Amino acid sequence: MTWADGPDASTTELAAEAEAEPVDGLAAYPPVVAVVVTRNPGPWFEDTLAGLAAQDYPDLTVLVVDGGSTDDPTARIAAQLPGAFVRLLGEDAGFAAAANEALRTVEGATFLLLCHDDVVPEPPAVRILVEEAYRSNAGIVGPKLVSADDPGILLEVGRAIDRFGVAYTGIEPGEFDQEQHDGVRDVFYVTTASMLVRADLLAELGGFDEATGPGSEDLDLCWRARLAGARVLVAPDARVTHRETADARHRADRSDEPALAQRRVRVLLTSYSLVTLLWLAPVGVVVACVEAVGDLVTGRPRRARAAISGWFSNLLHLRSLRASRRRAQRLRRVSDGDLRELQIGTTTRLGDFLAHHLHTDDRLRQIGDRSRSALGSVSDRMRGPAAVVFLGFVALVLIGSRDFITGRVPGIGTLVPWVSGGDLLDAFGSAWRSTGLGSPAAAPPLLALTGLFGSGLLGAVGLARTLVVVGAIPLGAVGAYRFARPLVGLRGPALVAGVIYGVNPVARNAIASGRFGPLVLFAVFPFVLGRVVRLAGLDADRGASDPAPAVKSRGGLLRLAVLVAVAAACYPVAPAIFVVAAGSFVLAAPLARGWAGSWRALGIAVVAALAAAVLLFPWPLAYATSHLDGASLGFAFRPDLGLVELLRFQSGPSGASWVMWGLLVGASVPLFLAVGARLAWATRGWVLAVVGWAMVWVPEQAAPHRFALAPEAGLTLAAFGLSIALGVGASVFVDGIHRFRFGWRQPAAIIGGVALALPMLGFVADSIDGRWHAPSAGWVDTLSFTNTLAAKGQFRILWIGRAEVLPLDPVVLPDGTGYTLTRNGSGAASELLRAPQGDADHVVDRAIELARDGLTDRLGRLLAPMGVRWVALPSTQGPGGGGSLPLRGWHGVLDGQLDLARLRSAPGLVLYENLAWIPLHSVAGGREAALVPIGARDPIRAALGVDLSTAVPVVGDTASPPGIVLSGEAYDSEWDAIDGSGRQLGHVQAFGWENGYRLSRKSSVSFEFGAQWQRWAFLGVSLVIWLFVGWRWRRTRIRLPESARSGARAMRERRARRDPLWDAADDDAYWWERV
Amino acid sequence: MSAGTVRRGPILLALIVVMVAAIVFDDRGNAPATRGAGVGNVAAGPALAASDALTSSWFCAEGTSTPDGRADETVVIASVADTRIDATVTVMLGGLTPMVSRTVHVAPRREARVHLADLVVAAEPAVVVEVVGGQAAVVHEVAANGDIATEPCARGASTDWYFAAGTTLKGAQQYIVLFDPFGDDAIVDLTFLTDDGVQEPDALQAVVVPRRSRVSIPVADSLPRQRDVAVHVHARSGRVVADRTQLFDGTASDGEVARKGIALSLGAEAPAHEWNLAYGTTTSGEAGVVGVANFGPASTVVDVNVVLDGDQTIAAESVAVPARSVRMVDVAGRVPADSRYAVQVIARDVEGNAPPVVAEALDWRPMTATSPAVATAVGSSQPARRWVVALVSKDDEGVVTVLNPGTRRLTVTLHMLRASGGSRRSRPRRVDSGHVTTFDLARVGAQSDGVLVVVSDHPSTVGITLTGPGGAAVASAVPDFSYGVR
Repeated sequence: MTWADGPDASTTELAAEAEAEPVDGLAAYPPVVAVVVTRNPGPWFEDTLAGLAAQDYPDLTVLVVDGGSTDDPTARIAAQLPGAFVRLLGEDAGFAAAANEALRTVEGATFLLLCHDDVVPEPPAVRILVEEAYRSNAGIVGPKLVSADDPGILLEVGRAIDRFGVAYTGIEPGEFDQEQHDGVRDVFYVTTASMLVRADLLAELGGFDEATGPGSEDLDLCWRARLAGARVLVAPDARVTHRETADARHRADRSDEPALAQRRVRVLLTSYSLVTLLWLAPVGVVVACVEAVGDLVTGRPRRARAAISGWFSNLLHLRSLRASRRRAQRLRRVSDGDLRELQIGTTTRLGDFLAHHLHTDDRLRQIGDRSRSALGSVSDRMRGPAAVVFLGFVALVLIGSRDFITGRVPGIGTLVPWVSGGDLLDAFGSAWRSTGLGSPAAAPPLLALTGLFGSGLLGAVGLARTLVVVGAIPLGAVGAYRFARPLVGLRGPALVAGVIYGVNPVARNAIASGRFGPLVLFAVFPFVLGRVVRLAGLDADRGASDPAPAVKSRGGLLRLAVLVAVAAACYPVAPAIFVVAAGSFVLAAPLARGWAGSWRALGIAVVAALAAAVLLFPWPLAYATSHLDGASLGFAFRPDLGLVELLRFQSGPSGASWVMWGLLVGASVPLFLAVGARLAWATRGWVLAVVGWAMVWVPEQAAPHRFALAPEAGLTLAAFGLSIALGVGASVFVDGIHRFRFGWRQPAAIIGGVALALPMLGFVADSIDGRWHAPSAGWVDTLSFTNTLAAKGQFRILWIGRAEVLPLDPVVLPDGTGYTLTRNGSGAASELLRAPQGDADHVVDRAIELARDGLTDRLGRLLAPMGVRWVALPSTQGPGGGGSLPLRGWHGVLDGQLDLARLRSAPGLVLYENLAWIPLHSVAGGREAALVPIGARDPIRAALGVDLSTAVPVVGDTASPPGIVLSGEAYDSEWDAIDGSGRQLGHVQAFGWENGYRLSRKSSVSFEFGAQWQRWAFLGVSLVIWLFVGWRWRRTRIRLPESARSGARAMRERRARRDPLWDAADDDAYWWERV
Repeated sequence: MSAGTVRRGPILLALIVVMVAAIVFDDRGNAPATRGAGVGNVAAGPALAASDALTSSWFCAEGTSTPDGRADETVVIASVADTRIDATVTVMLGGLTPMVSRTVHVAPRREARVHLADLVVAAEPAVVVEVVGGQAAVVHEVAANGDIATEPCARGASTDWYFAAGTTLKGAQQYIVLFDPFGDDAIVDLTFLTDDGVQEPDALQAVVVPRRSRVSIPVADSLPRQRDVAVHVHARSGRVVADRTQLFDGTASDGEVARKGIALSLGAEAPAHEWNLAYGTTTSGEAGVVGVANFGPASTVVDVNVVLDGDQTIAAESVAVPARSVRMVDVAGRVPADSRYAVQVIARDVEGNAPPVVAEALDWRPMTATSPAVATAVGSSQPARRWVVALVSKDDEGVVTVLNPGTRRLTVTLHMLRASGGSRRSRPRRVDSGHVTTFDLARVGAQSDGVLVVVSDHPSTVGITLTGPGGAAVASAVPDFSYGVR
């Protein structure tokens, strides 16, 4: 082997004797030159050199090509590998340029081993690669790359690509090397991290195309080698550890994503044949657009830009592109089709898209790293007394929720079962809501939230529902802790506030009563109010002047609005409750001062509520354009609670004990003991509590015949207010002990502390039940057998009873009779947050009122056009009880109906079958067709005179007889019915409220809602809004500087190394550690 | 904020004020508030539907439509509406036999008659009449043994029905007819109060009444030769309508009364403390008794007051009725010949909490009369201000009896509704408390297809007595409880 031009000034032979040393059998070993390309090598570089030095290949020469390191690495190389040659390029050259330089420099070598400066080949690696190159007559051979950190982890065993050049390793992140990929095989390409290239092939190919690097030079080289007929192999027996230090290098060293994409596309454009490109390029552009949308949705605008620009930026380099392409195609000896088997399919492409764009492997690694870090941090914190208390609390929550965890959450109230994520998202995307008799009102974003949450848990929607229900209590407690911490300034008292909020019976009663909205309100309320307080500057103790907050979180209002929007999506009235809560600070201002901050808080809450309405667009339009329907907003209850019950939070089966008085006693202590800012916050807490109680009590007293919110909504405010006061009280107590200034206040505080323990006893007692006194199942579960019957004809179930025991969100008639219509089953989450009542829905009201007043005994016939097949009359929430609230007289009313047959059912539920039922989609043929009232003015009279119980269901593609097709949806001109030949049927209004169509001949019938595009348009607007929110969110993120983060890490490590005994001794101080 | 600006006193004072105010107002708010729905159940007994009712259904249990049937049935729909109404007469035949329906258009203020045999031939036809479009009364008339009987149809079904004046002596056949108009089966137990005490024949326990059909139970087969038979029908599952027919063939054992004709009664839904039987006459030598049945577990004493038309009065007779027994009280025997009368049965004791009873009239013309006849009717326990009388036969002479069971004098007027609108009114009559007045239908110009409405300014009880060559019948008129209420 000789140097082409001899070692020039920049090429240094470190040890001439190395070349002079005689080697046995030299002729039997083709000379190999290892070309190590480096630039600013890290401390691992010595390992790389050592690895090369340790090779058992007899004729291996090392050439280090330095691409412009700031420090000359020659000394380091000399120390580790005296026989190596060094070539300093003196410029910021990439790998391709450096390798090409080696190609020009080296002569006589049979193979070149190209490698990065962060790889360490195991001793036989070079020999194995050379042997395999000979044995398989390969042009390029790559080794198996394993992780330098953990050599048991596989990184790469060659690469495949899809049709668009995206690499695919087939290796899962963190996959262990169990020799599962240890077979020599053809691959599309191997990376430049380490590749053995036949020197003559590299020369024939003209070296690397420098325009494709960094990023795609290896793909380009291997592809051209393939086109030239050379084989590209991987020989996994040759192991090379790879440090993958690119991420650790300076950001400027890394190529940006648009450049990477551009180079990848460039390789495609140069390597594919023209015929292939004719179809591939347009498809690639479309796929890139889809990718871009996905990237935008997942918050990666740079990637989105890269996906698009990758295709179009190459147009700027047409000349060089053409030259490269000519050179590549000149080599072509095989067709694209021959290479196809080395490429991956389109489905893999989709998975790869997700992996690529969601950074699955990176993320998993990051998650792993962070998890380890977090675990370390958590294990530190676990030893703290606060953690012990909180863990005890969480343990009690888990014990109290064990039936939910081991079984399931009962389908009561609005805790109905969640259907699959896809179905929920379908319901969200649909322009037609299936609640009531159907409505074109916008679907609630709750469906999207639950759908995404369920999908995010890989379709385990039941788990998602359980997580929400079980997690609400601890989440609320954490929120209260975070709220209280800056106010009381001590961690321990803040923890008291959090735990006291968590043990309040409000959430347990919300669970026991199946009230999803109030439960979410309980969980989110502290976070929302905390943000309001911080933004308003109420949390700062700044003296009487009460200036504007000195520091405002960037984007704080946006985050608050998003939080409010999430709460509102689950409970529409939540924004108003937040405003009321903020308004309570204004009410408290005469006593607690802080006028300006209080008004600011109110203003911020109002703005956040309005912003939330914008974020939830177009859902609020459903309420704006409909008649006033308070029940659809949650005003469906008539709580029958006395003052004592309210003060004890006895709105349900939990907390019904005198021990709850302890809460009030404990919360009143700071009013006597606290001073200054703490007294102010104790006062605000109490005013908030009074406002919360008043929200329940005043409507009940002033307008007992009106409907109000679920009591848990107002009681959440009361619970939170008391917990703040208690946190303040605990801080006063701690300070008293700390300062050793004992007086009458300390005994009072101790009394308060004892009183405080009482509600916790109640919490412990309730946890014994295992499901917070909720029934073991709901009627929705009992009647779930109906869910499978829709295939024989769609139907509805009419539930009549008090709002408290009905599933979903009932309509409530003025006399208190509530009803719910569920479709094709016993009710599911896709029917949550029903649309406000429309005109057609009032037909149901009237039918029920007529039956209730004894003015008809043909209720079944009145309900038949609506497809009501069963009428359920629950008096409890489920078979196990739960809110025993029968509606007087309704059994007699329904028993007296001529077309309802009472079925056998469990105690607590009376179930009737409607003998006059007709399927939701049906055809009245023959003589019955003439009976269908078309254009009737009075829907009730129209239904009364017609018996269509023999109507034929419209099912799937089954042909239906000619007649009048009835679709039990509220009449809307946008509904169309299409027959089997694609002909649109004549649309009429049947029974005065529903859609009817004239079917003139036997045919299958399908239904379409024509205004779906409007829904998509609205959702497009909504998407734009949320994209803006995402963009703004990222822009306003506050990142700690790296120094701060590393400082925090160091502190954690120091803590971890600390003596545990010293930690234990520090526990006492922990409680009054100022935070 | 500085510590000095927050004062403790006002805070405590404000909270105390709020709490005290809450306690004060909470006390005031503890006045019972109406919560929840008040649901208007339809009583099973006959009554006009409210004027704003969308529909009203009437259930006629007894009657046959076969040539050899025991009680040839005709349904009469009497409209008091100002517009034409539609009445759908549906005959439920039970089992898989399809129902037969006919919709009858009834002219305003007129009657329509449907002879069941013209609609369907069936041995056990159960009839439902659904009236759409306005107020109407539905009665049914049965004929057999040269006699007629009439009774309003029921407005609903019930779990319990009671009859007081029955017999299974020689020459008498008694049928309890149970009708289940609903979509699920009913299971019924029958209990009898007889001369031999309480009887619950095994064969008449857990009688299944299939959905949308009726069952006729010949009582004499299980309880032969009982002079007095009171019946309690109890549906342990479902609800039924119960009629009772008694057929007398003119024979009798020695020493017993021989009677001939047919009698029809709709049962009472529940025992009551006071019963008014506004029908009774001795103008053709009729005899009559009132059966008083005590279905309760304790003995009671009832006062049986016979009230004569006019100023004559008869002293009340107190009758002891032991627990779970029935007593027949002769009333016609105490009335002068050629008189019209009404009967009040009042169960009371010193404490005023005597067990309630059921009272039913059993009248008959003797076999020596030109046309023997039998009639029964359960009394009325609830007075009303407006009553509708459906005129069942043009050949019959009718007497409308108005009894004032209240404590105040009332004024009563008869309205013969005109098809063209309005009505021809009788001269108003005043009826003192506890007194009775009667109207001859012939004198007030009643027409056979007309509808008669009796209106009083205070609640009264109205009954009708039909006599004629075709037989005799007594029945309660159909009350309109919504009159003057809505």
